[in-house]
Amino acid sequence: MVTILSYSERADLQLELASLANELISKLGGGVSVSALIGYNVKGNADMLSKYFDRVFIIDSENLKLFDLSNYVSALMEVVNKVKPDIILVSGNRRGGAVASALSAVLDVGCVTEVVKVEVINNDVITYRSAYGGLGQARTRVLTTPKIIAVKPGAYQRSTVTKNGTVEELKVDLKKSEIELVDMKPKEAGVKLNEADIVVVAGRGVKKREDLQMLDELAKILGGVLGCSRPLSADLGWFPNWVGMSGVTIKPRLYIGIGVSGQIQHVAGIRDSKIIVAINIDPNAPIFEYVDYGIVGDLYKVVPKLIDELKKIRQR
Amino acid sequence: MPNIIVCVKHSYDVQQLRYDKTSRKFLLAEAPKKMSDMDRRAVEEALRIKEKHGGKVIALTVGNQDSIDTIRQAYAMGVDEGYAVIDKDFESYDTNNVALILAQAIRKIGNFDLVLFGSASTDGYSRQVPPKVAMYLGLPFINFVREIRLEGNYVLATSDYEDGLYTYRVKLPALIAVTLDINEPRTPTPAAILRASRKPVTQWTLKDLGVGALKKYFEVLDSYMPETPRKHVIFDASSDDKIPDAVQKLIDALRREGVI
Amino acid sequence: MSTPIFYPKDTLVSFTKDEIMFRESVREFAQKYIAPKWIEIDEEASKDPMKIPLDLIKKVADQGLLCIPCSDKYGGQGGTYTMATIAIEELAYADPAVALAVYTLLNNGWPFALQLFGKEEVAQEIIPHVSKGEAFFGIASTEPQGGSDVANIRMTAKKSGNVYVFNGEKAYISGVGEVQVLPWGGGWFLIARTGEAGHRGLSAFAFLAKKNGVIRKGWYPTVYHDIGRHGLTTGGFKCENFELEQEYLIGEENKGFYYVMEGFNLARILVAAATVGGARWLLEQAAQWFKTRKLFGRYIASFQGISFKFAELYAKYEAARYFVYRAARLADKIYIEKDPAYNPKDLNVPVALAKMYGPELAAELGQEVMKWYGAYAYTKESPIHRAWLGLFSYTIGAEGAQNIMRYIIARDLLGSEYVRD
Repeated sequence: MVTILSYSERADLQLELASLANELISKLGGGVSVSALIGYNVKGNADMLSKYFDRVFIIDSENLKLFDLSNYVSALMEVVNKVKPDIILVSGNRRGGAVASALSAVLDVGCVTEVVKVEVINNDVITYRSAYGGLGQARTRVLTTPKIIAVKPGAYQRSTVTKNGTVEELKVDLKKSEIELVDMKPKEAGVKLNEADIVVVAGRGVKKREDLQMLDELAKILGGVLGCSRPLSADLGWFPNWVGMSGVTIKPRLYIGIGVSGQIQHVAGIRDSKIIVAINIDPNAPIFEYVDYGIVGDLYKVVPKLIDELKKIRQR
Repeated sequence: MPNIIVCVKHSYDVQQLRYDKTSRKFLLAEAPKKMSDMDRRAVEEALRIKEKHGGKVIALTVGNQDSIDTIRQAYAMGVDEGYAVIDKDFESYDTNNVALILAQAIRKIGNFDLVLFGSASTDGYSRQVPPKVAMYLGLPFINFVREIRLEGNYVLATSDYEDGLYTYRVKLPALIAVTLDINEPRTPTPAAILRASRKPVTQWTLKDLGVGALKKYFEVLDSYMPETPRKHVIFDASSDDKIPDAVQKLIDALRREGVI
Repeated sequence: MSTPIFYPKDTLVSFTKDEIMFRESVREFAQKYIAPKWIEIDEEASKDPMKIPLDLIKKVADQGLLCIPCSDKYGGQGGTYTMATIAIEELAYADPAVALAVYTLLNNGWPFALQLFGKEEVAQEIIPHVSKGEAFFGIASTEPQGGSDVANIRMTAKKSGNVYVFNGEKAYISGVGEVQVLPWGGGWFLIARTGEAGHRGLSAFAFLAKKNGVIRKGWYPTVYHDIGRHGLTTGGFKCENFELEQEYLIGEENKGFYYVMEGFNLARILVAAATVGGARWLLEQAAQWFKTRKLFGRYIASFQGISFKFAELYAKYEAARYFVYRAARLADKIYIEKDPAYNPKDLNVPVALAKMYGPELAAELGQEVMKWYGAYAYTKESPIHRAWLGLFSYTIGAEGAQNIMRYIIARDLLGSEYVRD
């Protein structure tokens, strides 16, 4: 009987962890899935989570309003001490990855981040993570109990197995954070790139922000969404987030990179796409090494033509 | 006048990492190494803070003998002091081990106001070490920072999270990990490089830090270049007359694949 | 028994940690600031040669890439000649049309020659402005009647009181535009006749056409339209009773020929380094192309006509690069370390090998890559022709024509009595 504790500050990512927790429980000979719901004013999610986990523990405190790592770890420790998990799954988004790492220091146990797949072989939990900055992959193992595993968002589908879990609230004394939030500029929600079937990605070859309209039109005709590579988001701020190692990892049925040069870090984020297509004026762009289909040509001439032809097909 | 310790890693240059086409294993022995990209930004940021507020910048690394090169690079950029914890078994250490060693070294250096890290190393990319060091040292921690401002005894730092940019204010000492977006690091001049090679690097062993046998928390069974066979069909549309044909061929191919 | 022929000293080349770090630093700098702009610079300046990339010259200066081997007391970097060579190779790799590489190489080699042979005060006056990117300092030797025949120079410099009075004409001189537009100005390591006919009547001057922002009287420049390497100007100038104070005489009167020959040796290393950097870019263009281009269902490099030629050119590239760094190492021994076991003549053959080999390799490679790429390379959209035309200029002239290099090699190996007519 194993106990698997899942934590993410985002309910949707908790459901991805629920899938993996269920899979591991079945492969490890049965057990209990536990969800830690930690934050401020988060109780509202408890009922929903109890449909996917056997047990839900709530820690709700005003001192968790701000993301103070040590307070989040203290809260999570409370649940760990309560349920004594064998495996702790954390969603490895930016906050989650830090929580997993810090918890591993405080608990003095091992932790693996950037995990894309977990396997059970002879009762041993083998984790696959990206290696060398996303260039490769590594098979790894956490050698302690509990094991902390931070899973890349999107690596697992949301659970659809419903349960009738219990909900329990824990009280914990948290100190007021030394850190104070003085300003917060929300990013526009943006589309969920890692859920789309078809993703068109704009790269540095796109010269002006207005030109994105044309790419968006292409994405819409294909029934997909538009994303971007790192420079367009991090440097130019045209998008809230980007596709790549340090941004969102995607695995759509069809990826079309337009004016994307193909840095390793970008390719690491699209590697599992079914079909990869690139359009780039530079025949030597590294992206062409990773494609199924490529067009060497000026995106400003090729994309309008592509849109025209796709429209014709649709009208037929 | 803040004293800033910047932790830097001598990483494999993943852009230049090759792999064996049959075994798909990486050829690490011949792979060049360099200071991790985000760590370089951390050094740059520390130097900019110093240029504005005075104080001292100290670079610290842990690694094999060759990691001294990274301290030399930090010297060439302009740091004042360099420390390297050298251990021949470094490659086998996990993030818990590395964080523990760094925390001990930071304590031994002492007298600091700010500890800077890159949020992730170029090769390992686990993002685990900075939060762990923060826990070991009991320092407030701000992660994924793309802007730092010092105000007296306080630091303001803007974190880049998926949902927004959060600006935090915290009293020093603190630990901050920065992203690639924080600055463009300087490229040292010939004169700076020549000056750097004359500066001494303080070398410590684990024993010097009072670190005994290290527990093993995590292991890498193997790493490899995953096989993702691609078709590599390229259509030429480099002149206008070829565009219609190339576009048509692409559409046909995508329909055959059943993706549109 | 055969007679062993003289062969230059020191044949091994490896790089120090400092040099490796320096190469990474320059490469990153050049890839970040120059590589994205070289095509635009080449295109703009092809229409108007006075479109000189002053902003990038300033950036190159701030990066410490001018006057690298010059002493820090003149605002130089106190570096080695090998470092200067590395800088030029990397700049040319980032800008294979080599405008910025050549600007930079001239303003390394010739300020250094000025430091070696010129007066302390003059070095102190000029070099700091050159190293900050405020002034240009190149070489002015060629005249309309010919370039390589230095001993036959006609421009005269007549001593009159405290000044020399210059009359005559220089042609195909790099930097004629730069001297006019850079804020401080600058000029050339210039050779003019002060005495008898032949090489014993020549003197060298730190010829400042513009100083402190003021163009001096009696200097009449023209800028040419080159076919490549746009962004660095070539031109000529006439001197009509142009007066230069006597302290600008370099070294002793009528010894200019010897100084300029040593200066040429130094500058030629860097010229060859530029062609090697450009050649690397061309090779990489070819390699990438071979990995994507298919013909008759086969990768084009599976045709041995292509892959064998590629292999041969690669061998030449490695040889050229070796010649360049071997010469740079010797320059360090002679001029930086001042090792008594070496003297300036030791550089003649190593430099001539580098300067003979590098430019010819680059030009041949440029032409082959053009062919491998096919019709695309012949369009303005393709950057290959820009590299090819830029690099080709160094098979024609620039610190000595190619056959002069052959002459130097044969002369030094066989003895001058056997190679004179």
